[in-house]
Amino acid sequence: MKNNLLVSTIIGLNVFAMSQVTHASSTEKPQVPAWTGAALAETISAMPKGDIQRGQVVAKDMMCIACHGEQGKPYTMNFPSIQGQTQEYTMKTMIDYREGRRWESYKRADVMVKIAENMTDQQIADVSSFYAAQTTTAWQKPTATYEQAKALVTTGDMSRMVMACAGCHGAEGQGNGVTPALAGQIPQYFVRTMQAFHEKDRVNDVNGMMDQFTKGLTPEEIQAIADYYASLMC
Amino acid sequence: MSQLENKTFDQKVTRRDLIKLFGASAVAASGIFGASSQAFAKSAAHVVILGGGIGGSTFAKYLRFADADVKITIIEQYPEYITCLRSNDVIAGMHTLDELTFNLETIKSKYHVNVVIDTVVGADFNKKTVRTAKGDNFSYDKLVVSPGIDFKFEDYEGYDAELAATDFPHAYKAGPQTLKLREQMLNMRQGGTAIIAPPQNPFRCPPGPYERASFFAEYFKKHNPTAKLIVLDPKERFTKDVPFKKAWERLYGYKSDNALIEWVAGSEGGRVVRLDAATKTVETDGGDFKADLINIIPNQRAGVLAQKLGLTNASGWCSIDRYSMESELHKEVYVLGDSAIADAMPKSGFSANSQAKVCAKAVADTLKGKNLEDPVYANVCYSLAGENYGVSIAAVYEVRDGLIQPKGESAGVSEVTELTAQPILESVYQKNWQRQFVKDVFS
Ligand SMILES: Cc1cc2nc3c(=O)[nH]c(=O)nc-3n(C[C@H](O)[C@H](O)[C@H](O)COP(=O)(O)OP(=O)(O)OC[C@H]3O[C@@H](n4cnc5c(N)ncnc54)[C@H](O)[C@@H]3O)c2cc1C
Repeated sequence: MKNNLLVSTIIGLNVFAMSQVTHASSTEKPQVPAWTGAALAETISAMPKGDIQRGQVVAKDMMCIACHGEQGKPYTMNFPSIQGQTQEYTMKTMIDYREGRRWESYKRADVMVKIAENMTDQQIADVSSFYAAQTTTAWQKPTATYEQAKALVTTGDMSRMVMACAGCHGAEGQGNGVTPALAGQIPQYFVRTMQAFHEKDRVNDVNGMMDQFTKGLTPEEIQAIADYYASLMC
Repeated sequence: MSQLENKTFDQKVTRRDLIKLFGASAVAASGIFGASSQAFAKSAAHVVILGGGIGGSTFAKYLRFADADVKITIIEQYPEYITCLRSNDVIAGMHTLDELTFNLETIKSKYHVNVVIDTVVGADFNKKTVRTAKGDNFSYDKLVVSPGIDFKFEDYEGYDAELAATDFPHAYKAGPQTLKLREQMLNMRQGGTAIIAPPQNPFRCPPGPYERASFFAEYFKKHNPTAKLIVLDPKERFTKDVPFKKAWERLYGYKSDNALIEWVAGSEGGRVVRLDAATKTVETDGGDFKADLINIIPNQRAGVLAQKLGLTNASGWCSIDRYSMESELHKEVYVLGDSAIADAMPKSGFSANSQAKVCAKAVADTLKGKNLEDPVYANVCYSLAGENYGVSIAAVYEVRDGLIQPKGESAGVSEVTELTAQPILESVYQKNWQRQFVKDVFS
């Protein structure tokens, strides 16, 4: 009878990861208004102050650590790193899940939606401050495309309306307020997220900016940028 | 092999041919069903499957994976199949029956399986033929039987199939009775009493009655807080009882003064022996219980078809060879799913699916003259103790000492922890599992 939960968790997750095909769910995506910059700023500033110690307890109680790791660095490539993520961005993410604004149809959101629905503002603030207090470490070593990606990240390509990622996400990929840190991010998650933005599967950003500013990127470039950020730490 | 089958398999079959073969009404009634258009060699073996539920449908698909050349026919009595899986959710209002309704169209077209909608009425194991209600005969090389369960109404004085179809639904085969039970739950008077009486072991979906009880309690908590649910059980324990009872404590005040749910064990007089339909009273070993709603889930045995074909032993179930699922009573006849005696494996859709895969490989290997390999079976039963509260049991099985038994330390039940997220996550896995599972069976 040992590790019973793990057995069922693994089996559950396996199935979960396999179910890529969209299927009408019994609970449909709620209609939630898109964020405006002002509404988002107001919502975030209305959140309670977070407590790191309490946040560590929440991370355990809500089993965040089961997928995202003890300090927010996941054990596998399947889940995003939230180690050192800005407090504001993690809070925004949890609010988006809770309200159904983030509800990707590639079926990875189910777990997060249910967890978020069962969390209070205080718990969200606490756990977000706990992860923000962790140091970001790199996920992988730099790859051959590092320099090419760095050029795109720092200067963009105006001929294709590709904005410099660093402009919002920070010179070191450290993030800024509600704009997420990207340093140390799992490349598979990064690529999947970009696809979701481009396919409008993910629309929880302000003014659809992520789609607009990155539409011109080729799949190879997205991969290169993913590998670049995965190799950063801060 | 009859002319009918040669024609069905050896030629591209047109609608006109089908009408000639099956009669116009059959073609009209079966609509998109009917013969597969795939051409098979005359010498190819013919595997006939009786029952296109979880076991039969999975078997057809996986036999096709194992053998591209074999001829496969499913004979299923109904054009549509409603899964029992998640049918308790329909009672709770989380799903509709439509969402649980499937057919064999994909099995037919994608896996080149001949689908016949007809009721099997008999078989001749010497001549290796089966007979249907419409009068057709099918000859087989291997026969696979997965007919589900039958109810032992005779164990309850005053209860019968007719009452089940009207005012006292068991709702243990998904369909109209499921909706009827929901309606009864919704319409129960404020402060009323409901009774759920689970069956004696062994029975289909061991956690099913307790999941259902949980849903009743959850509904009462929201809409009828002075109502009460009494579970009258002939048993002393039930599957996952530790996490279930913990959930009932946490969610429905189980064991407290204002508990929404009460559970009576067999030794406390939980075994129901009689139903008085007129006064809505059940008699148990411990006395009479009067209620507003009575849901007796009767004791069970192998499906009627398995009994009729002489595949059951004295226990009422079908004994099988653990390596292949072949009947111990009749060679070249295999029994899958709820009807089969699979020792430690529970009677679940997951088990039926797992057994079907083992059996498909065994049948394919046997047809090719290969030796059988040691089988590995698996089961996971996810249940809900509330909409956002999952509990599970899982095991991988092997054949040991002649019995199907859990392998190593693979068996386990959800641990009771203080972690808030644990039951929430299990409820998500449950939904994801179901979504994936029905795809594995029907598409
Ligand atoms: C409320 C409830 C909840 C459940 N939840 C789960 C769950 O979450 N997970 C899980 O794994 N299992 C669950 N189950 C159990 C699962 O439904 C069964 O174990 C499974 O269906 C067994 O498969 P089978 O092939 O043996 O029988 P069935 O799936 O019942 O298939 C039998 C088929 O044979 C056909 N048939 C019978 N007689 C004839 C005949 N004479 N001629 C032609 N066709 C015939 C029937 O029409 C039927 O389609 C649940 C059951 C219930 C009642």
